[in-house]
Amino acid sequence: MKIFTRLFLSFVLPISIFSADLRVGFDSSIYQNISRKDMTVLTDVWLRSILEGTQYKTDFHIYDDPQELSEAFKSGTINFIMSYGETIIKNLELSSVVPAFTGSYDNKEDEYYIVLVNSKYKDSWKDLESPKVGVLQANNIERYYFDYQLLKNSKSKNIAYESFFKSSRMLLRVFFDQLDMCMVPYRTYRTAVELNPQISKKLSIIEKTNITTLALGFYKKGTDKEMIEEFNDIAVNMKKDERGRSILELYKADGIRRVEMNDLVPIKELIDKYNSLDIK
Amino acid sequence: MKKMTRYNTLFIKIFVAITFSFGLVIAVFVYILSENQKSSLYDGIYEQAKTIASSIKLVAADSMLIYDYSFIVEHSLKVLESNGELKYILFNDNKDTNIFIDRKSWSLINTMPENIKSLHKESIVYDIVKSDLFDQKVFHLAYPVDFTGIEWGWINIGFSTDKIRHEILKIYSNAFIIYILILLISVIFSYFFAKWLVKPIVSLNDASMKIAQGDMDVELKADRKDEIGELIQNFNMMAKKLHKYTSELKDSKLDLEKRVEDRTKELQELNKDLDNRVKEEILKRSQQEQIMLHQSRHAAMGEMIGNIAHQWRQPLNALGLILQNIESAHEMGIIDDAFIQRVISKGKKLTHTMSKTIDDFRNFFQPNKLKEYFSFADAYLDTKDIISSSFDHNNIMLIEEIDKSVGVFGYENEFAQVVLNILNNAKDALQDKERSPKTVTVQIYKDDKYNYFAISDNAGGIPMDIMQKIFDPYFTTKDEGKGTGIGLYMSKTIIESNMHGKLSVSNSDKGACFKIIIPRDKEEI
Repeated sequence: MKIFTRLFLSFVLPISIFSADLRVGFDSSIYQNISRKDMTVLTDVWLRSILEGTQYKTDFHIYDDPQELSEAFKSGTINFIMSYGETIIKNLELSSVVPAFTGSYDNKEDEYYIVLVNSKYKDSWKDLESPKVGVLQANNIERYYFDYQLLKNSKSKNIAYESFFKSSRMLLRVFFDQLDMCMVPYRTYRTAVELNPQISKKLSIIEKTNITTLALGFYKKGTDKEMIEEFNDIAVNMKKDERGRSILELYKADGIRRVEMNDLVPIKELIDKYNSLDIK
Repeated sequence: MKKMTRYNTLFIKIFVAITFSFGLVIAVFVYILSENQKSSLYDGIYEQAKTIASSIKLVAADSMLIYDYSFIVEHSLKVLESNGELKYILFNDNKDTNIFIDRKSWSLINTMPENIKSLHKESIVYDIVKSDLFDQKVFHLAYPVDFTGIEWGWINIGFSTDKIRHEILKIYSNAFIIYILILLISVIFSYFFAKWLVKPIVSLNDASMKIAQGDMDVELKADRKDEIGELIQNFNMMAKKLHKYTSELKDSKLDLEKRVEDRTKELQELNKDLDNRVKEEILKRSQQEQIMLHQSRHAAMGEMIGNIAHQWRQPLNALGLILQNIESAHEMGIIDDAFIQRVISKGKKLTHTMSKTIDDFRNFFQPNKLKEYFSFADAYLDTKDIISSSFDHNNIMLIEEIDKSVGVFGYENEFAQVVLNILNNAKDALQDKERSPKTVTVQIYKDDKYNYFAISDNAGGIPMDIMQKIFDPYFTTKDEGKGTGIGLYMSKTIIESNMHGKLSVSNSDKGACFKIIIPRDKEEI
C-alpha cells in the first residue's frame, strides 16, 4: 500500500500544487511504516522533477480516519482517494468512483493475500480450534477472512488475534511458533523464503486468495477526463523513464497499473460473507 | 683489474654491511610501525563491532527477554542492511536457539561451530575465524548478553575483514614503499660513505704495493684531519724513512757483496792450498805407513831370524857334535863306511830339519792373497810351531783350551801374525819375571754371534796409565832396539779393518788378557 502512496505522491502532489485541479486524500493507515516527514521530503524531491512541463496543480491531505476520508471524497473536498478496497466498498458508492492506478508487480500472485499456517497443524483448517492469529492493524480484511474461514471450517470461535504493523513480522512469529497462522501478501512470503528457505518447511500455504493487498486509487466521478488520462499515462509509463524506474526501485514496486473495478469484487464478496455470519 | 677487485671487495664489504644494517633497522622499524597500525585497525573494528552488538542488545532487549525472535531477525536484517561491513549476526540464547543472519539470508542452526562456541566467554572475545557458517574469514566478536542476572546468551558479530585486509595491504604497501625509499636513501648514503671510507685505505694499499714493488718514491695527500689523515701522514713518514733505509741497505749490500767477493777469492785460494796440504798429509801418511810397514817387516824378519836361530840352535849343536865325532873317529882311526853312512844320514836329517824350518817361516810370513775359511786352531798351531822353541827356552808353559770347530773367513797368515805378536809380547813380558810357573793361556771358543780368541798371561798385567796407549803406533815399553811399537797397532788394524772384528785388552788378577772377537758369518751360523 505504502508503495503506491509514495508513487502517487511523487506524481500527483506537485500537479495539485501548480494547478490545484487534483485534490488528493490519503488514508494514513496505508503508510504506517513511513513517517509523514519522510514521505513529505521524498515526495518533494521526486515531484519537482517528475511534474516538469505539466500545467496541473495538486493538493493533498492525509486522513487518519477512513470515514473522514470518505466524507471528504463524497463532499468533493478531494477528488482523488487512495485507500484500501475495504474503505471504498464500505463507505462509497462504486458508481461515484473512476478507477485510477496502483502499484503493481511482475508476478501477479504477489498482489494477493495468502494464508499461512504453522505446519504442525497439518495444513488443515479443522485442526485450528483456538488459534493464535496475526493480523495487520491497517485494515479489517484479514480479520474478516479469518472469522469467516475459521467459523466455516473449524467452527472455532475462540480466536486470539494479535495485531501487527508489518506482515513480515507476523510471518516470523508463526515461524517461531508464537502464532498459529497469519495472512500476508504472497510477495512477503516469497521474500521471507528467499531469506530463509526453512520457512517453506515450517509454514504451509493453506490458502491462496484473490483478495488484493494493494491500496487503490480512484478519481471522483466528474473529474476532468483529460487530466485523468494525462495522470494515468504518466503513472503507467513511469517504468519507461529512467528516472521513473529509479522511483519504482526506491519504492520496491515493479510498475504501475491501472485499477480495475474487478479488484474490488473479492473484497466485496468477503465483506458480504462476513456480514452474513451470525457472530455479530 | 687486480686493484679493482681489491677495491671492490673492501668497498662492497663496507657498503653491504652499512646497507644491510640500515635495511635491518628500517625493516624492524617499519615492521613495528605496521604491527601497531594493524593493532589499531583491529582495535577500531573491535570498537565498531562492540558498538553494534551493544546497540542490538539495547534495541532488542525486550524481544530478547520474551524470546521474540521475529523482531530480533527483522532488526538484525535492518542492521545488516545499514552496515555494509557487517557480514552476519549470530544469536545464541540460553534456550540453545541459534539464529544466523547474514545479508542475504537467515536460518536457524542446530549446531554452533566449535571455533565460535569456544569464543563464548563471560567477557567480550574476538578472533579472526572461518567457520562453516560463512565462506570467508571474518572478524568475529562474541558479545555476552545478560539482563540483571539473566544470562540470555551471546550476540555474535561477524565483521568483514575486507576493509582490514585492504587497510593492512595498504599499510604493507605503504610500509614497503617507505622501506624502499629509506633503503634507497641508505644505499646512496652507504655508497658515498663506503667510498669516502675506503678511498684513503685503497690509496694506502696502492702506495704500500708500490713500495713492496720497490718504488719508494711515494707520497700520499694527507688532507684529512681524522685518524686516517694521521695514518697517511705516518705512512708518508714511514715511506720516507724506508726509502732512506733502503738506500743505505743497498749501499751496504754493495759493500758487503764486494767484501764477500774478496773473501771468496781468499777462501778459494786457501782452499787450493788446503787441498795441497791434505794431499801432502795423505802422502806423508802413506809414506809413514810404508815406513811402518817396512819397520814391521823388519821387526818380523828380526823375529823370524830370532826364531830361526832358536830352531836352528839344536841341529847346529848336533851338527857340531857330529863333526867332533868325525874328528875323534878319524884320530882314532875308526872311520869306516858304516860310520860315514851313519854320520851322513844324521847330517842329512839335521840339514833337512833346518831347511824345513826355513820353509815353515817363509810360508808363515808370506802374505795371503785370497780370503779363505780357516780354523782358529790351525792358525794357532802354525804360530805355536814357530814360537814353541822360544817359549821352551824361556820356560813358558802354554795352556790350551781350544775348540777346534771355531773358524772364520779371512786371511789366515795375517791372523797368525796377530797371534804371533800377542804371544811374543806375552813371552817378552814373562821373560823378565822371576815367577814360576810362567803361563800363557790360549782359549778358542764361540757363542751364537761371535768367535773368540783369548790370550792371557800371568805377567802381572799392563799398567793402567798406559792401557789406553798400547795400540797407538810407535808406543812401546820395551828397551830400545827390542820393540818398534808397531806390532799391536798393526794387529788392531788387521783385526778391525781387514776382518771386521775387535781386538781389546784388559787386566785380570794375574796378568794381561788380549781378546780377539770376530763376528760369525751368517752361513757359518
